Amino acid sequence: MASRKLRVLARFYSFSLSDPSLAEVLAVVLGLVVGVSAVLLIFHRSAYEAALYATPISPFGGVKPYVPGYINPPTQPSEEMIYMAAGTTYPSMIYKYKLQIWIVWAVSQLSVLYPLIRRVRASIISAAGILNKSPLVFYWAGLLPVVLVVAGQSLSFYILALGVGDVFFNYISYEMMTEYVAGVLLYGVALGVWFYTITVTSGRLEIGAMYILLASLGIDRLVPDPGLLLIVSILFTAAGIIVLYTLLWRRWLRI
Amino acid sequence: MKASTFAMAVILVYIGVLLIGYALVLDGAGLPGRFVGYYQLDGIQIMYGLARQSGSPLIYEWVVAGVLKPGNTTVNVGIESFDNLLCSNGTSPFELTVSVGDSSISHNSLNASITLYRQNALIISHVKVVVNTTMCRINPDQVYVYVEANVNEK
Repeated sequence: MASRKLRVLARFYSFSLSDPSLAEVLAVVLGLVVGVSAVLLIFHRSAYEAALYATPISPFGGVKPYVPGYINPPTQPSEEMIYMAAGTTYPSMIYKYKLQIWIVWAVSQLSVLYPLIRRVRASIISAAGILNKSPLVFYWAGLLPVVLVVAGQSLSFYILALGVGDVFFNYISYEMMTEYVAGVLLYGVALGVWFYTITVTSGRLEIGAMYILLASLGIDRLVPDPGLLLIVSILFTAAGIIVLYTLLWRRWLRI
Repeated sequence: MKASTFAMAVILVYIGVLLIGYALVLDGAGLPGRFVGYYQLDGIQIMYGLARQSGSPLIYEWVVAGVLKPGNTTVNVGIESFDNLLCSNGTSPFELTVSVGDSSISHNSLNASITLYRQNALIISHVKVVVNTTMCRINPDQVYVYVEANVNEK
């Protein structure tokens, strides 16, 4: 009975226990560098396209004339209006590339989490220290680190997106930006919760990883607008936590 | 390597990569250092005659926007494809005005140039071409205005 309890505990607790090898360290560093560079390129491309979108006429276009007192001058957009148009288009351009951002995010997340949870069965002894604790320990010892890693990376992506927008336009619609970026990245947090739930309840990291990649492909079709994505992400997170708690509680009672 | 040391290393590497990436964005990495646009002055053949009859100048005014590396930038504007310069006082029939931000310059010639420092990648300039129809007599053809912006080397 004790060994079964240890096995169950180990699945949940060992997220923060495994020591990675040198090869894994190198893989993580490479994953992070590639992940951050890729997302930076996507933000850069979004800002570039937003700037072109806000351009009033093409660099090879024709210009209409006017004659004072005879033909009224055509309306010219002010500098502020162009900056504003670019700044408000930028978040929607990021949203357009949400699938790419999400795949980059998922791959870099997996590159960080994979070495830490690879040795699920190897760390059974390390889990012995929590034998007499409440099942809630899994939330702060297992789920919380995962959510913190996910939220930390999401926040840094958000700051990076704002930084790129600031360099390009010196104007960003913070309200829109928050809605768009938070929607996409909260979706990431929601899937992080489910990744943890699926991995630890099945005991198979591959199933969790497969789920996270399949879900990343689904984001493009799942929700049509950022507001709805935000709501779905919050509900998804809540549902993940409830399912995890229910599974935990049932397993705990069965032991 | 211990898991705790590894976690710290991951955070440090992550922050380092973010800072390097942001510094590259600030520097304008990946952005072009030159912008060129050719704008046709539409209907100049017809409108020149109308403006001349009403005794008013013919005016073309538009906004040029593009993306360039931030930094010291020179914007050149010039009239192209125009050979018939026939002002009575020997001057150009065109007055070119270029405005970028708070800087503005006007030239009564076929070229105008302005140099300024830009902090943002998006460059927005207003170009105004005033065609003098009272003192000058021109035979308008297809007239193009080129706008060229170059980021000067640091």
